[in-house]
Parts: sequence; C-alpha cells; structure tokens
Amino acid sequence: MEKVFIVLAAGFAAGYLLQGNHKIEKVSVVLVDFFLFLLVLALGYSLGQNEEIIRSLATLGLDSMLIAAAAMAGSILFVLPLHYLMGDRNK
Amino acid sequence: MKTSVMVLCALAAGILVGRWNTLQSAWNPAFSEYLLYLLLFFIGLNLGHTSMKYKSHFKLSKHDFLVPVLVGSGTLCGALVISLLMQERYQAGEVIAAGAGFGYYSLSSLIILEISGNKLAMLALLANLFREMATLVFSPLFSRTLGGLAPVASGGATSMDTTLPVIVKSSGKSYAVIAVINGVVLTFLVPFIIPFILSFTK
Repeated sequence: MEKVFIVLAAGFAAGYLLQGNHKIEKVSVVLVDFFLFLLVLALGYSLGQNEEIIRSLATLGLDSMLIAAAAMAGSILFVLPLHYLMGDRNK
Repeated sequence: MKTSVMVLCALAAGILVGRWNTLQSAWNPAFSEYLLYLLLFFIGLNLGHTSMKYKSHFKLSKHDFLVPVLVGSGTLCGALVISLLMQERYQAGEVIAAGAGFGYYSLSSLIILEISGNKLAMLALLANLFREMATLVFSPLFSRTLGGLAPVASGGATSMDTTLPVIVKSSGKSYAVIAVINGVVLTFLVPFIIPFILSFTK
C-alpha cells in the first residue's frame, strides 16, 4: 500500500516540476489511457480465468450499476438544500 | 464517452480471452504489477499538472468548498444504503470503497486492485465507469429537474475534466468553476479515503 502512495507522490512531484511543459502533459494523458487499456485487459484476463467470477458476472454488473446509481442519488440529494438556499447561479 | 466505452470493451475482451485462455503459459503476473505502478506514476503526473493549472480558482468563497464536502458525504451515504442490499456478497466497507472513487474509475480501481484484489477492483471499475457515463447522458435531465448543481454532484471527481463540458452545457457557464473545484477536491480525496475505508473491512 505504501508503494501506491510513493509512486503517486513521485508522479505528482514530477508533474509539479514539469508544469508548463505542454508536450509532457499531452503525452502523459495519452499514456494514462494506453496503460489503462492494457491493465484493464490484464484485469479482464485474470477475471476470465476465475470460474466463480464468470458465474457471478451478471450480478457483479448489476451491483456496480446499483452502486453508481446510489452514489449519484446520494450526492445529488445532499447538494439539493444548497441549490435551494443559494438559488440558480445563472441568475 | 469514447474512453469509457473503450475501457468497457477492453474489459470484455480481456474476460473473453481469459475464459478461453490460450495465452496462459505466456502470461506473466508481474507484468500487471509493473503496469499498475507505471499507470499510477502518470496519473500522479497529471494530477501535479492539474493542481497547478487550477490554482487560481482556489481563492473563492468558502461556500464553494461546501459542494465537494456534500457530494463526498452524499456519495458515501448512498453507497452505505445500497450496501444493505448486497450484504450476502460484500461487506459494507467494500461497497462504500467502490463508491468512494467518486467516478474516477482508473485511480479507484487501481488502489482497490492493490489492496483487495481482482473482484472488488472490477466492481469499483464498473461502478465508477457507470457513474461517469450516466452523468454524461443524464446531466441535461438532472439540471432541468433538480437544479444546476445536480450534474456537478453526479459527476463527482470527473466534474473537473471528462464531464465538465456536459455540465457547462446543461447547467450553464456559471457552474464551471464550482465543477472544477468539486472535481479537484474529490480527486485528491480518492487515494486517501479508499484505503481508509478498506482498513475497516476484514
């Protein structure tokens, strides 16, 4: 777990030091997508080999949709009072 | 939307290949580990850039900081409530941790992958991916029926980049700054809050 923080912080420091360098900024955005696809492929691959996960795939999909909906509903519900208190920002 | 659909496709393709594994002998598990750290490094790098880019926005009224606080706590409460329906399959902390990605699917699933393994990482990846996609699709409706802050809330951590254009389009330009603040604060919360929540699970 500490490794996650160290690597993340190292990247953050590098990004901080290299700010204003638009080339690196652009390349790093593309690299994040690229590495993400590779990692998700690898994640899918290891999940695909697990018989138990394959059997519960539909449940997992449904559960994740429910979590997304609940998270969105909760956060919208919590900011609603603020909306009524402060009104529409466009006006 | 393109990226999130492609991530879904990559996941499906990976599962299919894994199911009919022909690569098993060639597969090196350490490869994913290296990939994870490479990805984390570049996510950190992007965050380093981003935090500086929006520095000037952070001289705003304290009111504006209430939005990410409310969005964050609303998300966790929503996840807690829905975890009651999933008690047989997951511990409450696991469901809340998946929700605590606030839509930032890459970072949240990586951290969960490292701490809790494949299954929960996939749950977090999908839950946060769906949150982003649903925000992209439903923002106009949310804004019309529940007010301009609703798309910002729904977007969570993504309200500073991927969902920002649709938020501005549906809620108006005056919501752009608060959307960015909301996104930046929640994004920086993700790497701290997920390990914290998971530390309460067995």
